[in-house]
Amino acid sequence: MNNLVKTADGSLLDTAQRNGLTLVDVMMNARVMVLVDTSSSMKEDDAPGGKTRIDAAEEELRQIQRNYPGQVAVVSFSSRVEFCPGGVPTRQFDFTDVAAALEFALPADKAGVRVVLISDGQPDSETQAFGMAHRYKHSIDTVYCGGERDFGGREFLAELARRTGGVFGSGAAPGLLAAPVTLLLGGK
Amino acid sequence: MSMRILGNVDSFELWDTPRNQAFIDALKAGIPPGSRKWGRDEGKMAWIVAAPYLDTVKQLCQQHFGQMPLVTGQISSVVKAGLYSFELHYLGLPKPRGDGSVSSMGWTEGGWKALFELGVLAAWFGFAVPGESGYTGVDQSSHYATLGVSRTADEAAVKSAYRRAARTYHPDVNKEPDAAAAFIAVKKAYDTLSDPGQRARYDMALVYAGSSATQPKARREMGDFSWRPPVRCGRLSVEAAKVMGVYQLKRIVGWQDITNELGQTMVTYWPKGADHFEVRWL
Repeated sequence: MNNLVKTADGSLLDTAQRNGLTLVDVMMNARVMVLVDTSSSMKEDDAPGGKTRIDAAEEELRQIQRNYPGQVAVVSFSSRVEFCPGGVPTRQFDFTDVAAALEFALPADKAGVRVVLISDGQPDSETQAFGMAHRYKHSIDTVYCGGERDFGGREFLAELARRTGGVFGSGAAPGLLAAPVTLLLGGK
Repeated sequence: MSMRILGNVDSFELWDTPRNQAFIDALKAGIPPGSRKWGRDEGKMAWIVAAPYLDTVKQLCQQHFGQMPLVTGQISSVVKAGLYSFELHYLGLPKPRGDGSVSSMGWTEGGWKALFELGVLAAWFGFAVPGESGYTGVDQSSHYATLGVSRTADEAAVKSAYRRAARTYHPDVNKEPDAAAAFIAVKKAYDTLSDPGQRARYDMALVYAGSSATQPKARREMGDFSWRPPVRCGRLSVEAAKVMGVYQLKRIVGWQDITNELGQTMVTYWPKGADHFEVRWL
């Protein structure tokens, strides 16, 4: 086990270690890349059960990876973007650079991996985010995980999905992320 | 008796070192075989070492004997590089040296007379990471490295490289202990890189796995020097400095197959336990 990296069951790294494969071998077969917002607003504790938004997102990510081992690539973003092969997003609690996250995921989009953005919206620059999304070959699916009254954040994510032909999911209820990702992976 | 160093044009002799196995091991680990030898002069034995390793030897003496050797004579550590051509009959596997470098020795002109730093091989075979140099900048485990082609190699180049590597490692020809595993790796690399869809996915995976802190670090810590050159012999044109009769390569300029009058191509390998490589013509 690698002690330096937190590893979730079913994550790319966990799958590689369990099967004696390289990370590259496993990543080749990933079907979804989830970009997880870890900006400071994700510390808000308005998720179901009084959890913070990031805790709720992380919990669901763990569940999805357990159900679909080796198929979900996790990327965290805030002021920097980080690939998280262990399946646990790195918490940065800083800015919300959606454009940088989308740029980071461009090679995945080019290779046909579906890109899902989970965020509470309010990016550093909507213009740059939309500009980056314009470079996508495929759709971007978005999941809103902010407060019920934050209409701006919700609208941004809905618009991002609409412009790329993706699906927008929203909800402050359990399964906010699991539903769209499960759908993409062919489950029910 | 105090140790002394006697300088020559491109090398120096280290005399009167006390017998010390740790020193010998460190010297062998830190200086590649082509750049040091245990030689005889006037009935006495001395270490003869290439000039660029003067500081390494001084440090080792200080470390193991607690004193610096007395240096006499001129030592020119700057050896001018020139263009050379030679037939390389066998290229050894890359090995880590004590100074942090990784290099291979090549058999030419009847001895181990060519030194290939891994970076030189990586640059020729096209898999060096741009902007970086040396061992840590070389992605040895990629399919590109296995075939010895660059990331931008086209379909024809990939196919040609596959044929060359498959010829080198086919288990019917190559009797090295892990030739079968090497051949499987070559086949897997070709299967991936020759299919445009698979290659796009592979390139994507390399981007992300390469950005992860876990991979290269783990490989470095494990001391993974598993890369095997896709071809082990050839007619080479090189830019090199010739030190102590050994070509210390700066750059490979050309590498062609060695063929005989029947149009057959030379393939060489080193069977386990053998004291010399073997030659096959295919």
